Amino acid sequence: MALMPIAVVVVGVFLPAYPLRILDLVLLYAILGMGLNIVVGYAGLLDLGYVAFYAIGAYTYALLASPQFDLHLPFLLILAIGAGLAALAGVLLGIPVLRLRGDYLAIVTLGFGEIIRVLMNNLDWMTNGPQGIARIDEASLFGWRVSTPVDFLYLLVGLAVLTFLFVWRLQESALGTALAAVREDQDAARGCGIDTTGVKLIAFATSATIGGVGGVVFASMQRFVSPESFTFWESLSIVLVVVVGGLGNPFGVMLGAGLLVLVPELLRAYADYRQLLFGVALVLVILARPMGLIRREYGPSWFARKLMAR
Amino acid sequence: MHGVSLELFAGEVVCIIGPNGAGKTTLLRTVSGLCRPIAGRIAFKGEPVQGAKPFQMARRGLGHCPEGRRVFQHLSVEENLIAGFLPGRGKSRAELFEEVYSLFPMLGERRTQSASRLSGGQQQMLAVARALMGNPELLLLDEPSLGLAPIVIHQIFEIVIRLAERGVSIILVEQNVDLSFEIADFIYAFEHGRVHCAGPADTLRGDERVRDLYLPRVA
Repeated sequence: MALMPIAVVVVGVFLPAYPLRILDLVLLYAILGMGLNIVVGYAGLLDLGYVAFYAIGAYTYALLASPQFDLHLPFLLILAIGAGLAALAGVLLGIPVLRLRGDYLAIVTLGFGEIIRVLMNNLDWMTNGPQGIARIDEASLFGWRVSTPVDFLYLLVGLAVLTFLFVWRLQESALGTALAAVREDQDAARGCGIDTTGVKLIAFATSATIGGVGGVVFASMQRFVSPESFTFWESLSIVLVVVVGGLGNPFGVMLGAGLLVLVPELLRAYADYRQLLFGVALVLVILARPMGLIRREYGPSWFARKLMAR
Repeated sequence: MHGVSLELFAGEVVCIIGPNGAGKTTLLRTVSGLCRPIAGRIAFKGEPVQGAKPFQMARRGLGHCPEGRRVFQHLSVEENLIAGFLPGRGKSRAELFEEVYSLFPMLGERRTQSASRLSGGQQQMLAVARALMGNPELLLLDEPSLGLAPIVIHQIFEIVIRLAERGVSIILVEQNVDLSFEIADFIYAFEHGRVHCAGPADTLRGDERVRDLYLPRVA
């Protein structure tokens, strides 16, 4: 398992520019998917507005490292600010919304995602509205200039590994068990003395933080942000990464990210039928494997046990 | 529920009996904070606690084992117990695991099994064990005999008695009147959200009012 990121880097370094960019995108979606998975997979709450946190991260970088306000803060600092703002947004959204369950929660989070996008679209003085913010600074980490797709490959692999380790530990912690209890039977969890609102809020905030980090990296990669990148479809894609890959399983999420980025790219040749074929493929996957491609049980802990047993 | 007044002293077993819809479960849910009382007072260890949230009640030392077991089906036995564990209640998780597994050796043998693979009686034991993981001073048991074979009911009640001997106070809701009289110190019989009659188990045994509750005489 430890070899996987190394393999990705080794393969990635020798790839031409186009496939390398796609690989970067897969990694970015894997990170976002693992973040969203905390809420959707572990706590069992459907969040259809995840893109809002991603947008907050991206715009944080765009505003603090561009000619827009002539601010050029260092990348790491903005990473922390973006993550913090996203977490704050997660908590602020969570407080009123987490009383809701199921479909109602999905609807309100969807609305939140749209609100953030509409704000970005209309706060012209700040965000340039639909024109977006261009000429964003190059990222740099301790003097290392992160600009080419290979640089981003290193950065994204590193972040993906950190995210993976983090969500794995979270899942195995007492908090992870409390989230599982909420997912299984919220009323019984309440009766067991679990502060259900509290743990859901933590889940929301953590997941939002990872979304914010993803957004900052995205903005530094594209060096351009506009509201177009943060539509409802983006939220839906991330939910699909989780659901198709495997609810509650980071391995599944990585596989899901691979498929959901690669398949549309491969279908580019059949532009007219692309959406149709993609849709059919999704329906088939869900019909054949309703629990996702890799089931919850076969997660990191299962894998670690298998390795130890050998 | 109206005008219900109920008292319990440390280390006592109190049984609440009564027909369906009498308000037994509602009473337990109100005590543990799952339902909010419109009026009235609830005191626990001498402190007023009405309006407290369920997790606050649990931290004060109240365990609630809900009606219909409600174990977390897709989690393992051990994960179910971890979900019930509360830090800061005087005992470590390892100590409580040991205690619970010695009380229910069957659960120890099935630690890694999913709760859905347990029989009804085993699930009930798991539900009781989960409530014990909070190291409660007061345990609320809502119909632990529901849908179980008599022999299994017997096993569960033996454990209830052992818990009481260790000094855990217990409020038990039961439909099984005979069993209730066997283990309770004090009995409350409910009907239509009111206390129909109450008294120490010994004095209330054979009382006509209890029989009337289930078999009203035709006037």
